[in-house]
Amino acid sequence: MNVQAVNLAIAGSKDAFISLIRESEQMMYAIGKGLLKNDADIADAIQETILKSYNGIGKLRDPAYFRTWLIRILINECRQTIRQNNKYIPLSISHAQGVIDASPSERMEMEDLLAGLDLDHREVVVLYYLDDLSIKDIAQLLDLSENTVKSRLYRARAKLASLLKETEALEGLK
Amino acid sequence: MNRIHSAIDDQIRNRLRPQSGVPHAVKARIDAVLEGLPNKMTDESESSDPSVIPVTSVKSRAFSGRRKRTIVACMTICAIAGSLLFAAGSSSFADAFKPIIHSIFTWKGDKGLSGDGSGAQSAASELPILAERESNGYILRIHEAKYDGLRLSFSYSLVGAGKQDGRKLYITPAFQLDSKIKKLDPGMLKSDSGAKWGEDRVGIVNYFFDQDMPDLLELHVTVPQLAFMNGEDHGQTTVPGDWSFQLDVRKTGSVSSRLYGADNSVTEGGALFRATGSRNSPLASEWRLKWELPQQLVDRYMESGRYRMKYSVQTDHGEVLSFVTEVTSHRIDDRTLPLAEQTYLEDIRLLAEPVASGTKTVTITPVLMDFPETEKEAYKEVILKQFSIVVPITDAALR
Repeated sequence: MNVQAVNLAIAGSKDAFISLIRESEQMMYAIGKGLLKNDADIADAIQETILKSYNGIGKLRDPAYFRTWLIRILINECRQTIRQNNKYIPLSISHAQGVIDASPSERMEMEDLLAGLDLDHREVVVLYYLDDLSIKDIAQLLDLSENTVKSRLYRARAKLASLLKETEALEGLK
Repeated sequence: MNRIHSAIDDQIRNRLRPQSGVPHAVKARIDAVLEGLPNKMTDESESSDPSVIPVTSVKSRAFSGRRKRTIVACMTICAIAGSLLFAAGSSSFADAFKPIIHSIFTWKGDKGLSGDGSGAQSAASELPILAERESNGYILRIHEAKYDGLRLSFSYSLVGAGKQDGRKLYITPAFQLDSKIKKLDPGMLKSDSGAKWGEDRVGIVNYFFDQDMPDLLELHVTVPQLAFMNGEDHGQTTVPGDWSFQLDVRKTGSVSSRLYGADNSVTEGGALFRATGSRNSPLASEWRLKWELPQQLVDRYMESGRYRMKYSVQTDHGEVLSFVTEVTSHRIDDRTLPLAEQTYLEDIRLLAEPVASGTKTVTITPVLMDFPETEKEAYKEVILKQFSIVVPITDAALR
């Protein structure tokens, strides 16, 4: 992450902020995709994240934490979407929500794997594997102890490993 | 971490990491949000107003004591005035962070409605207004309309929703077409998808026709109420008013239809899945499918509500179509037969974005959704590859 750009964005530079978001958009999409079920929800969560971070970046004290700060906002937005989706599915668009927008085999593969995990474990997996964050960073980001992150990661890893084994066995049969 | 773990970690990482970039619809939304960000006017390079003091220079400047006190006093007054203004008009503050939208059709990422489907911004510098109506403190504006005989869509914004707590509410204007159009096509389907726009709301209303429609539609749309749905506790309230409007929309493009026979069907384990027809237009595509299942199978698996079916429609270019809406109807073929001989028939009508020009075939695949009965189990999807059907399409009216 370009610290100078973060400093400029903190000082109010819109161009610097846009360049930071451009650098982060692939990462934000990967996290959103790991936690949410469809691209419409991911777009909503990223939109809110961009607006909130633009609004609040002036309060960011340490530029080195821009990335984790941005991810924290995004995860909160994703959690809110998941809570809303669990409680209320608008009838008129409920079927359209299941849209597969990325390449289908890729999407299904990822969904199949992550579907085996609950949200707590999914968050840890997405941050660890998709975003390469350290256990310490994940612990700070999710307000958990490092031991809790490790144990969630351990359980998730075991489950994913067994799912992968099953998939390979099935592929071997084809 | 030992070697076994490392190998598993690499395997998991490779499987989870997306191979493709950010998809069109998400990318278009990010572009629109970034383009709509207001200037903070605190950076020298971006501020053309000489009265604005850049924050960077304020921070680095050394002050004399008197000047410092004067500035602190001014800042205090500004802060108090600012907080009063903020308290009095927080929706204006929210409005400052509202994304600028040139086209709701493009912003929502609907390939059928965003012109060439590239997601490029509309040439228009402002969102057009085709109709506007204010009632009960809410302004409903109709911005864009498209119609091609298969699909009619118009985009709207609803301003004033910030009067409520916008984070908790889904707001839907109750659009009702006049009876003359309903008579032309009783089987017409409607869908409405909305999104947050600052503290307000924007959305697209779609109607899909299954009859030949006239070239000119004289729309008389009644909007007698707004429905507010509380996302927290499912509570629903309505706000009455009159946001009705009139709009003439002219047909552009044409609709090509194709019927399918027994060649486009699969039988497996006593279940028959077939494609019965498709229609294509520049704004949409329609796919008609049919299941014939032993009633006993349906009783055993589908009645519990645990399982539901969705579909993937993929073109020969590898593009997976996004669905706008769908409708299903079902019946039992002959109830006088013993249960073991009864057949369950289900008709499915899928409405999706249009297929790209040059497409010759699409592959339709059912996907079984498994909603677990307990929270301990995870939601699953099973792709029913054994029921995949490849169907040809008529390349006459594509985008």
